[in-house]
Amino acid sequence: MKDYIKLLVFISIVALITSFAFISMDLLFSARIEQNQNAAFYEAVLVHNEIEFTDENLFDVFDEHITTQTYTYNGKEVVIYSNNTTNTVSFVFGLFQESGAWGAIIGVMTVNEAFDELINVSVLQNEEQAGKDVNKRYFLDQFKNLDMTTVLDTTALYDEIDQLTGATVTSNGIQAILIESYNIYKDLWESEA
Amino acid sequence: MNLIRIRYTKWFNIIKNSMKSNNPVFVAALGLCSALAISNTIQNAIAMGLGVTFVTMFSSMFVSMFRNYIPSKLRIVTYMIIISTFTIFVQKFLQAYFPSIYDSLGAYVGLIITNCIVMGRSEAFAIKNPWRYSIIDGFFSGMGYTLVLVLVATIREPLAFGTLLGFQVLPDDFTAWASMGTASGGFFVLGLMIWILRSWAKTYEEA
Repeated sequence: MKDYIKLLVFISIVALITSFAFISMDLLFSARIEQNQNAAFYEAVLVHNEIEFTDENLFDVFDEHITTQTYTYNGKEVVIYSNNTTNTVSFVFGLFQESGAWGAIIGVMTVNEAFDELINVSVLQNEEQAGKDVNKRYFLDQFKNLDMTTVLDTTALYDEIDQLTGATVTSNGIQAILIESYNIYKDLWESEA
Repeated sequence: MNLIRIRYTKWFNIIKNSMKSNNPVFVAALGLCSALAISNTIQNAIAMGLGVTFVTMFSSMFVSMFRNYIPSKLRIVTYMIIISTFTIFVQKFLQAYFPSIYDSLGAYVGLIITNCIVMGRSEAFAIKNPWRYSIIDGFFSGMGYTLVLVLVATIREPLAFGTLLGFQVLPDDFTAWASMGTASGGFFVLGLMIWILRSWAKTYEEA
């Protein structure tokens, strides 16, 4: 009995110390991590819109050129970012039902004002392993300037895109994600118009 | 005379064992999963190697410091908790200050927790030795891992991407050897490397 109490005390002490360590780490790094994630997102939107920026003026340039509009989809708040000059539209994909082979693939997608041409795609968060190259430009550049009216179902899109070697499910997954997100944001955008 | 004395010190033997005669990768064949996956560029190899070194060093130190208090029934669980804590620290540090390296290493940073080198040094060395030796053992075991990773990456990166530490070193018209960028390419290079290094260190498997 005494041994069990000793084990229990030991486990409790270890749990306390590690909890304290995790809370400290969170306090130490979370603000910086969030800032990096925001910067990566803003950078992707500006690159898609071919707007020049530096690390120092990234947030100012974004605010100057991009307007945000908030919508609600299935009780979830989603945001559409539009370019003040060209009216191109950017939004975050991968927040809904479709996913990759193992986990989430989240990124930014930019289309023209009429929602019929895909201008650019960037992946910001990728939980795939076999398909970790899904965020590489050589794969994503295939989506540039794609006529969205001709690839509205996944089969048609699969024919347009060369899959990643050894990661067919991930390649198909991101295409299903893009089509799903495109349709959702298109409806939201048109509902406003 | 002093050099001869150094050869018989515990410090010297720990360093020699970790780097050469008991090198975690080419002798003990530990940590091969991440070694194959992330040794396609030197930058990744250095970052991963330093991450593993940090975790091995501090987890060995903590296991050693508290070895008299850790109940033997809970020792593996305790190692895991200590290792996880330091791994999460490395993961968050990279995510906060080196996001591009964090992205390119992907899940392998988190998988340091399951790296056999870290657990192996705790169980084989730190639990039986004072912390000052354990920290040296952890550091040089991590460095032994880093050294092999960097050697493999030095071969793979130019062949896969034509670059060395991100700088173009092969002509622009060089056709990249795509398989060198994948784990299968790593497998061939690491296999050759293990053969060469074992021959050099004269560490052969007994039949």
